[in-house]
Amino acid sequence: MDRAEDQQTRYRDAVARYGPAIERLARACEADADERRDLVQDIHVALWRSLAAFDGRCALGTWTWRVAHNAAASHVGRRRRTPRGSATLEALENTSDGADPEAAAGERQVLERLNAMIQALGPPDRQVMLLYLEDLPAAEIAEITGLSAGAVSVKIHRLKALLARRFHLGGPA
Amino acid sequence: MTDPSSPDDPMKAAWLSQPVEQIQMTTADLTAGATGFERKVRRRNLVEYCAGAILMPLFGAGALLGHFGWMMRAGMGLGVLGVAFVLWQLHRRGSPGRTPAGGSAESLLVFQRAELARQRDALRSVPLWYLLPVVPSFVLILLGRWIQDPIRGRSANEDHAAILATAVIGLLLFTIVWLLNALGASRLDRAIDRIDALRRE
Repeated sequence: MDRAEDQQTRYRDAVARYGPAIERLARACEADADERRDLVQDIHVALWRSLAAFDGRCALGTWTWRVAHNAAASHVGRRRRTPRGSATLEALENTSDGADPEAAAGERQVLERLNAMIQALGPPDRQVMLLYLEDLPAAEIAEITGLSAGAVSVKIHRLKALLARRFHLGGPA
Repeated sequence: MTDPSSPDDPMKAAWLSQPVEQIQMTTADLTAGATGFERKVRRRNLVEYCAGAILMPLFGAGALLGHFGWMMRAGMGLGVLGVAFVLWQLHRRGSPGRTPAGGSAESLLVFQRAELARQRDALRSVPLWYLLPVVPSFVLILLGRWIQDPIRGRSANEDHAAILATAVIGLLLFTIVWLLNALGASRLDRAIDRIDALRRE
């Protein structure tokens, strides 16, 4: 199998396994539908191009997550230009989004509010939150993000508490 | 990668079960998308090249054919060199061939730090290669106007006031651009420091 075929095969494999996650990532990063479509295409192109140089130094999943999140961070960074305008996890813990958790308990409203919350976060917190929601184990989140396992655990603990408080859907208080 | 069948948190379950439309991209779409960025860079550079194509002949004609003193002619000659230098830098720094070949598979913090450092370095260097090269030309033309080529029919005081006003406006613009870039660079420095702190945790 030549390199181009390898690239194509890996790309198809990655899309089959992580395509829906890429869509969810774009939805969480871009509120605007046109920008979201552009972002999904940017991620696919970045992934396809990167897989020409896939060297097996990490699993295809880790590679895909990294490329997808890096492409998303670049896309959002181009739109926001500077790191200003992003909230930290700490800031969100001390504020409310103004919604009544009981009144807005429908799944669609919950997802809209969740996406709005993620869009407000800065890159490291946003990425940990998304990878957590994708049900990745803390060790894999640490490998993808470059954060230490301890730092990821602390962030996840705070994320769970924040989600439980904002959405009243269970989990630790 | 994920096991949506048994997430341990109801938010995860809601997140993973949301309906998504998956796009299908053909190899032709991917190839077209991959060249899209290069096209954007080429288009942006084309505007700068067009501005250069207008300025360089104007300065060149002034330097060779203008009925001015040697200072203004030398200033215009320096203007040709300054604009040429800026265009060369633009070509060197922004050529599509120098853009990354594909998406980065570095860890997210490493990638983000590198991106912020690249943006910071660009902000710091822009005044040096985009503004500074045309400063000698600007200064020499204004000095030439003051010393050798006053406007006939205008009093010396009025003429000097006009030259000084031009110099002050030019200096102000230069300073503002420089300061905005420096402020942006230090903001990025702080963001880089935050990432370094996270990586040390």
